[in-house]
Amino acid sequence: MTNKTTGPLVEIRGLQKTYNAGLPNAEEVLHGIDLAINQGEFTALIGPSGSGKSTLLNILGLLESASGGSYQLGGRDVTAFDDDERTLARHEVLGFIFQFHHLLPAFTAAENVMLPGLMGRSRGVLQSDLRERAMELLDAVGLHDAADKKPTELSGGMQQRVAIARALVRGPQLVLADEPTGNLDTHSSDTIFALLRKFNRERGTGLLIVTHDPRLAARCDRIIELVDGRIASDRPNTPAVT
Amino acid sequence: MNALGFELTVALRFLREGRMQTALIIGGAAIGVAVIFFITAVLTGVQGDLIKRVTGAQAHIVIKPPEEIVAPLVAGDTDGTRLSSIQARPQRLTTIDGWPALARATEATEGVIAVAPVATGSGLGIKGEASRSVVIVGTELERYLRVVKLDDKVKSGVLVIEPGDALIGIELAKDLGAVLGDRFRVQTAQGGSEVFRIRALLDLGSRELNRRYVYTDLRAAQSLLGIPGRITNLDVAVRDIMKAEIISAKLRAQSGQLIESWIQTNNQIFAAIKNQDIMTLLIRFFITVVVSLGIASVLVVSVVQKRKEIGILRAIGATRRQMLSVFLLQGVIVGVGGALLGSVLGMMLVSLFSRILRNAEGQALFSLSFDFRLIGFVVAGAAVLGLMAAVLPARNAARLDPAQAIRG
Repeated sequence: MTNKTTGPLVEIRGLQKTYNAGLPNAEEVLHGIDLAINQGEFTALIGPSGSGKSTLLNILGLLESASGGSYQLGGRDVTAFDDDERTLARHEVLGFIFQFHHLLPAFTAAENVMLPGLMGRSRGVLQSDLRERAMELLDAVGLHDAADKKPTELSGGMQQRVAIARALVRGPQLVLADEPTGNLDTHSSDTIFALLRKFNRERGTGLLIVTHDPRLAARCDRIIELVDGRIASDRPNTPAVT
Repeated sequence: MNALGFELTVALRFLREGRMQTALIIGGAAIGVAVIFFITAVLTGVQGDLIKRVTGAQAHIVIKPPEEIVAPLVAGDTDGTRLSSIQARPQRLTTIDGWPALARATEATEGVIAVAPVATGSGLGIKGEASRSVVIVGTELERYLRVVKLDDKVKSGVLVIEPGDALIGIELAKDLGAVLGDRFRVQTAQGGSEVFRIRALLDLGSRELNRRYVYTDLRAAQSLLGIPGRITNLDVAVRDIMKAEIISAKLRAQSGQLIESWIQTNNQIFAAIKNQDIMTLLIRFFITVVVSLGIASVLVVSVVQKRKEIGILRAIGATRRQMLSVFLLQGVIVGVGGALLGSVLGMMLVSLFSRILRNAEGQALFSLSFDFRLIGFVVAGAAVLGLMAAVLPARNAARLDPAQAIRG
C-alpha cells in the first residue's frame, strides 16, 4: 500500500476553484494555491469561516475537482482523473474523518469500520482478516466492547473514534479530518486528538486537520493559515508538551 | 456480512433501516400482485363457465354442405339496370357427399381432436295429444361423445342409444308429459315416422335446447329424414376452442364445404369475451404502472433521505456504479418481495371467493390451483419491474456529488 516516493505526498500548484463558473453568481474561493505535504506530516489547516478550508480539503480529498492548477498525489497527476479514477485513488491513498461522525446508522461499529474494505477492490483480503483488523483498530481507539453496537447507542466522542478507526482501516497515507473535534467537549476532544497523534507516530499516517481551535492547532507540527482563499502563513510548529 | 457482496448488503440494510417505507411499498406491491392474480383467476373461471355453457351442446366446428344458390340471370350489377330480383331458394335438406373421406381428412387436421357424423333435421314429437316441434340429431353416440360432452348433462337415465332409443331434453319431456322409459313418436316432413324409447333426460344448459333436442342413432335419423346412408353435417371438436376460427379457415381451404365455428355462430358472446380480455389487460397494465410508480417514488424519497450516507460511502471509496447497484437492487428486492407476498395473498383471495362465487348450478366458478409457472412468471416480472422502477432513483443516487451530500 505504501508506495514510497521521493517527492512530497501531496503537491498542488496554482490551485484555483470557482463555483458556478460562467454564471452571474460565479465565485472564486481559492486563488492559486501552492502547497506541498510530505509523508507522515501532522498539519493543521486554520483560517476564518469562508476562507476556503473545506473546499481545499475536498479538493485534496478528490471529492471535488479544481477549476485550475495541478494536483499530484503520491507521485501521480490526478488533476484530470475522471470520477472512477478519483474514487479509486481516494480509496487507496486517503482516509476521511468528518465533523459530524457520519457513521452509517444501519451498520454496527465494527461493520462501519469494515465498510471501506468491503467494496470489492480489496481482493485477497479475507472477511475474517478484515474483521480482525477492524477489531484491532477498535481496540486501539478503546472501543473493543462497542464493536457490535449501532452508532445511535454510542456517544458523540465514541462515534468519532469509530470514524477514526474506519479512516485507518485500509492503512491510508494521508487522513483528511474536517473539524474532527468540532462538536465534542474538551475531554472527548483531547482523546480524539491524542489518538490521531498516536496513529501518526506509530504508523506514520499523515494528517491534515482543519480546525477552528487554536489550542489544537498549537499541538500540530505545521500550521497553514488560509485567508480569503490564499495561504496567509505556512510555518512549522513545535508542539508544547502535553 | 459481505458474503452477499457489498452492494446487496448495503441495499438490504437500507431497506431494513427504512422499515415503515419498506413495509408499505412491499405491501402495496403485494396488493397489486394479489389483485392481478385474483382477477386472472376469476376471469378464467367466468369465461370458462360461459364458454362451456355456450358451447355445451354445440360442436366447436360444424361442417355443412354448401348452401344452394340460384344463379342470377344477369351477372353482377353492370349498368344499374336489373331485369330480375333474385330470390333465395328455400333450402332443402342437403347432404355431404363422400363424408367418410372428409371425416378422415378433418380428423387428420392439426388441432382437431374428434369428428362425428350427424344427420339432423326438424320433425314433430308426438305423445298422445301433445305434439312439439323437435330437432332430430342422429349420430354415432360413441364418436359424438368425444365431440360434445353429454356425459355431465344427463339428469336421469343412461347414455346409451340402441336401435329405437332416444335421449331428449328435460323440457321436451315435460311438454310431452313423458318420463324416463316412456315411448313417443317422431314424424318428419319427409314422411318418416318412428317410435323411440326415452333412455335419458338431458339438461343441455339452455331452455331452448332442452325443449327441442332429440338424440338418436344415425340410421334412425337418416331414415326419418329420408336420406339413407348420408349425413347433413360433420361435428368437430378442437383442442383449443379459442383457435376454432383459425382451424375453420384451414378446413375451409381444404374442402368446398360450408364451415362454421362456434365463434362465428356466437359472434356476440365471443366479442364480449374478447372485450373482457382487453379490459382486464388494461386493468392489469394500470395496476402494474401504479405499483411501479409506488416503488419508484419510495426509492426517490429514500435517495433524498440517505444523501449523507451515500456521500459517506462515496467518500470512503464506493463508485458511482456501486451506488447505482445498491438502489437498483432495492427495487428488485421490493418487487420480488411484493410478488411473493402478493401471490400468497392472491391465492388466499381465490380460495376464499371460490367458496362465495358460484355459477347457476351452484358449482364453484373457479378453483384454486397452484400454478407455479404463473408464480414464477409473476416474480420474474416483478423483479424486472422493480429494477425499471429503480432506474431513475438509482441514477439520482449515483449522480450525487459526495462533497455536497456530506455538507448536507
